[in-house]
Parts: sequence; C-alpha cells; structure tokens
Amino acid sequence: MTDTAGIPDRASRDGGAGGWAGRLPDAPLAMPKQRLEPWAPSVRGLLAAVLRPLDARTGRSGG
Amino acid sequence: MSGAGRGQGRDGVLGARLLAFSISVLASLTAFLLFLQFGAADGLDGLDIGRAALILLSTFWLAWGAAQGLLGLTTRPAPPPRAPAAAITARTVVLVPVYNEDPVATFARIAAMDASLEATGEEAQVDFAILSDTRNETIAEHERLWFARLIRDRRAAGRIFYRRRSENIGKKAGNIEEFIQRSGAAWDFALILDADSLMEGATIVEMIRRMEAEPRLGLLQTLPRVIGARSRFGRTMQFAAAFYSPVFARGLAMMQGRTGPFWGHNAMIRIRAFAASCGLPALDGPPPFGGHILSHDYVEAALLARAGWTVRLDDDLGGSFEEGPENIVDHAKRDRRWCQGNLQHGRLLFVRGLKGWSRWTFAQGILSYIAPLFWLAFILASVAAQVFHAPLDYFPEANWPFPAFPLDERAKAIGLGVGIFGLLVLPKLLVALDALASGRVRGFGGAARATASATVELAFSSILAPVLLMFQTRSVLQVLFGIDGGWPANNRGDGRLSLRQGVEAAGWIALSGAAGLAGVYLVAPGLVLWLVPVALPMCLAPLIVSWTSRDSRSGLMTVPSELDPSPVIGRQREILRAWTGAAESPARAAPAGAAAPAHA
Repeated sequence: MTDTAGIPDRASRDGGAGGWAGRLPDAPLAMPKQRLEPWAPSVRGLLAAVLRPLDARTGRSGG
Repeated sequence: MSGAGRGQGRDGVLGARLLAFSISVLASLTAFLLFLQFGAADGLDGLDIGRAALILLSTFWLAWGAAQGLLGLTTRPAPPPRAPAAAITARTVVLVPVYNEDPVATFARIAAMDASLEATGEEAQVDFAILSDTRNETIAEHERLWFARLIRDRRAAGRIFYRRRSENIGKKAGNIEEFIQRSGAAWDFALILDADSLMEGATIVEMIRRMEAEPRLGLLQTLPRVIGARSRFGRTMQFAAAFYSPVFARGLAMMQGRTGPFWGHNAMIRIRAFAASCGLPALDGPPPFGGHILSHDYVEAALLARAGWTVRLDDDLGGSFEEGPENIVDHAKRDRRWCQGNLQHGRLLFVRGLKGWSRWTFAQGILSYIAPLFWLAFILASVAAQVFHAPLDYFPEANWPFPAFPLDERAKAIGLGVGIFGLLVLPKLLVALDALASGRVRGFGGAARATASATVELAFSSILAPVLLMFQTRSVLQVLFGIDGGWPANNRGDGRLSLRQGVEAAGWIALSGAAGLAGVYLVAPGLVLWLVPVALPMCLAPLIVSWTSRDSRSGLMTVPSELDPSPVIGRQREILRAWTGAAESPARAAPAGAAAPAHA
C-alpha cells in the first residue's frame, strides 16, 4: 500500500541508535465504512408512527 | 456541556436560524409577488409565472447570504471554553497531504510551523506527517530529498514523518483514511492541512487546548486567511476574504451551533471520533454522482454530527492561512471540482440519521452552484417573453367603445431591481461601514485606502460576475452530462496567462456573449441596453482573464497579513530564502547537501 523506499525502517520515536525514525508508527485504528442509505418512509413505519401515540392514548396493547 | 457551539445557547442558534430564514422567505415572497403584479399588468402568462418562480428562488439565495452578513455584523458570540494554560497533554499530529505539489514550498511551511511550535514550548506534543499521494516520480524524488533536508534542519528525527502511497485510492479522503488505519491510534488529535496551509504554533496549541476542554468536540475548524497573492485577481480575492469573510463566517457560526462545517483543511479532528464516524463508502453507480465522495469534508462533518460529536467553526482563531488561485482559470478549475462534489451531495440529502442542519448545508452547497443558472434562465425567459409577447389589446370587450389601458407597473419592476441590487450590495456596504466605525480599516491601510479598495473590489466583482457565472454554468452542465472540462496548460508557474491562453479558456464565453447580444438585438432590441452589463464583460472575457492574471501594482487591496505579517509567514520566507535563495517562487531544485536520502 505504501512506499517508504529511502526512508529508514524504524518506528520508535527516539529512532534508536544513531538513526532517525522517518517511518510512521504502527498504531492501527479501525475506520469502519459508514452506512449512507437514504431515509425512505415505509407504509409500515408510517402506520407505526401514527398508531403508536393512539395506542398510548387508548391504552390498547397494539398487539 | 453547552447546547450549542461558540458559547451561544441552543435558543440563540434557533433564533439566529429563524431570523435568517424569515428574512430570506419574506424577501423572496415580496420579490415573487412584485414580479407577478408587474407581469399581470398586461396579462399573466406561463413565462411570467416561470420568471416569478426564478426570482423567488434567486432572491431567497441572495437574501440568505445577506442575512448571514447581518447576523455576523450584529452578534458577538462569547469566547469558547478552553483548558487552562497548563502544559497540554494530548498528542497531536499535523497531517500534510501532498499531491504533486512543490516540495520546497510545502516543506518550508512545515519547517516554519515546527519552528513556530518550538517557540510555544509545546513542540514535544506535536508531530508532523507528510502524506504523499504524488504520482510524478521526479517530484516524488524531490520530496524524499527535501524531506531529508527538513529533518536535518529542524532536527526532527522521530517528529516529522513521510510516507508515499503507491496508489492514491480515494484521493485526499483515502489518503487520510489510510493514515488513520495504519497509525491513527498513536495520537489523540490530528490537524488536517492542505499543502498550501500555514498555521501559527500558538494557534495550533490554542486549538489543542479547546479540544482538551470539550471532550465532545469532534472537529474544530478555523477560518483560514488567504495570503501570498500577487496578481490582480488573487489580490482582489485576498482582500475580499480578509475584509468580508470574517463577518459572514461569524454569521454562519451563529447559525450552525454544534453542526458546524469542515472545509477539508486548517481544522483539527479528534482522531478516534473521526475514525469511528467518518469511514466513507464509495457510492454505487458511476461518477459524477456515484463512486468516491469527492467533497468529503462536508460529509465527514455531517457524519460526526450524526454520531453526536460537536463540529464547530471558531472564527475568532487567527494565525490560520492558505493560498488562493492567482487567476480566473485556476479559480474555475477548482470550482469545477467543487461543483461536482457539491452536486454529488444531492444523493446524500436524505441519508438516514443526519441532522437537519447538515442536510441544509448540503442543500446550500447545491444551491450555490445552481443559483447562477436561475439568473441565466431568468434572462433567457425575459428575452423569450419579449419575443412571444402578444400585442396589447386595447379593446378587449366587444362593442365597448372605450380603450382599456394596462396598468403601469414599471415602478414595481424598478423597485424589485433596486431591492435585488440592494441585497447584493448592502451587506458589503454595511461591513465596510462597520470596519470604518470600529477602526478595523487600519489593518487594510487606513480609511481612505480601505474605502478605495472596497469600491474597486465591488466594481471588479461586478465585472467578473458574468464571466464566473458562465464558467459555473458550464461546470454544472458538464457534471450533469458527465463531461470532463478542457483547460489550457499553464506552464509559467507564476499564474500569469497570455491573451492567447485567455482566448483558449474563455473564447467560448466571448462568443456566447456576442451571439446573445446580436440575437437579442434582432428579436428584442428594447432589451439590449439592459443586457449590456452582463454581455459586455462576457465579450471581453479573454481580455479580463489575461489582464487580471498580471501582477498587481496598484497599492490597493492591502490586507492585515501584509502590513503586520504573522511571524510564521516571515519564518516561512526566511526558510525558503535559505533553501533556494528565493522567498516567493521557489524552484523545484534539489537541496544542497542532500544528494541522497539520509539513511541511518
């Protein structure tokens, strides 16, 4: 993935004996891909949104 | 934690948004109704209604910008919380992504920032990483050579890193993502820069303090000032950015609260928040609307906000700089990329879970590119209305001997024109008056010079507007039809364009202007005079492109960064002089004494 040719292969911050650390430290961090699906109202979802408050008012279980 | 951003409460943010929306809706509805009345004087037809709708949209957009300026003028947000001035504890890395840039100039900026940080005494907590995506092997070789020089001069072993990707997947966003996946856990914060960014060490430290003080602050954006402009175009843009932008940015900061912007550079991120929230998938389908997300910064800001992180613009932070394009063609090229990126956001408007303001930010980006098309469509519809206009019928009722004269609604049309012109000019005028009253003009060379500069800038931007409108229109159409732009090469390196290059870049605009003017003269001669302010700059576009790319020698357009340069700017020039003997336009030369990379 990366080309570090010509860059000393050291990761420590102090660079070790007589050298310098030009290479990035190995300290991986996951970067999961985000979900970017559009919001799409479904009939079921809309019905649930409308009926839920009604259920709350009437005390019906809705089940 | 505060419910909003820069020290203003949630009510303040909602109030600011409501005020700006109310002003914009009121202004656009007024314009819409005035135009309908004007059109109805001789009978309302479809073209009248269409033009009124275009006026509605265009006026909304103009009024929105004006409201932002008014908010910026009339509000002073409280300073944000910051950690006490004890030693900072967080580890920060300054990321400098490069892509075929001039390594001498870029690395001199890094050396200057490192020296500036050293002066704060906090340099031990801050590292640098140059993330190269350079494709040109010669430039890549120079990067390695100059990196060795940078390390040697700054004694920066283990503090400044360099890596080059063999494939630049995902462009800049992919470059940073690769860094985070490989090394992100080594630091708490990352300051993301562009190759032409420059920041004071004290500003970087202040940003770290603010990030430390607010654990939910995921991203802190500064307002970079444009520096180093030499050409007429560049210096005018630089003046406008320094004189007007801070006020508009303050207005923006008042409205956005915790859902602020990310402009891709000169901003600090909390790395773990960014890693957890901002992994960008490629969108399905081919470009321009599918594939990698081009304008990733807006999306990353929206995703951070979606995950509950605060994204904030701290417009009070100084010491943050960037360079701008030196000519209209470079400006238009950059704008072409941004246009595609912003239009691509149309696919993300309804992404699940985004904050409403993030969606509105996407919509604003899209509007900023398509609004000029509304004006163009309005002009074309007005010409069509003249051509297809039915002759007046003075005797509409049969057997009625007295003529019926249409109402004279010209006063309303003139009032509408004055109102729209006012929306364009009034915010700038008020900012200028505020600068005079507050003494801010001292940074621009005093009252007389600042007033002259602002007047010339107004004239300059009015002349440029039709030319930029045409470039923007072409960009939008190219994106919609999936066509890539063609640009003339500029090999001079200093941004100057010859008249021939002006013709290559803008000859089509001159032809369009001349053809439009001739066509209108043939079909609706009464409109010619009205079109001259738009058509004349179009006809002269090649000349304007070339003339504005030349060095400015007028003494106008002075900005604070010239009269009282930030120390880091002086440092960068000194380093450039030491490295190449030239402070302004470094050559891509190999560094003395650095014939080969310094292997350990």
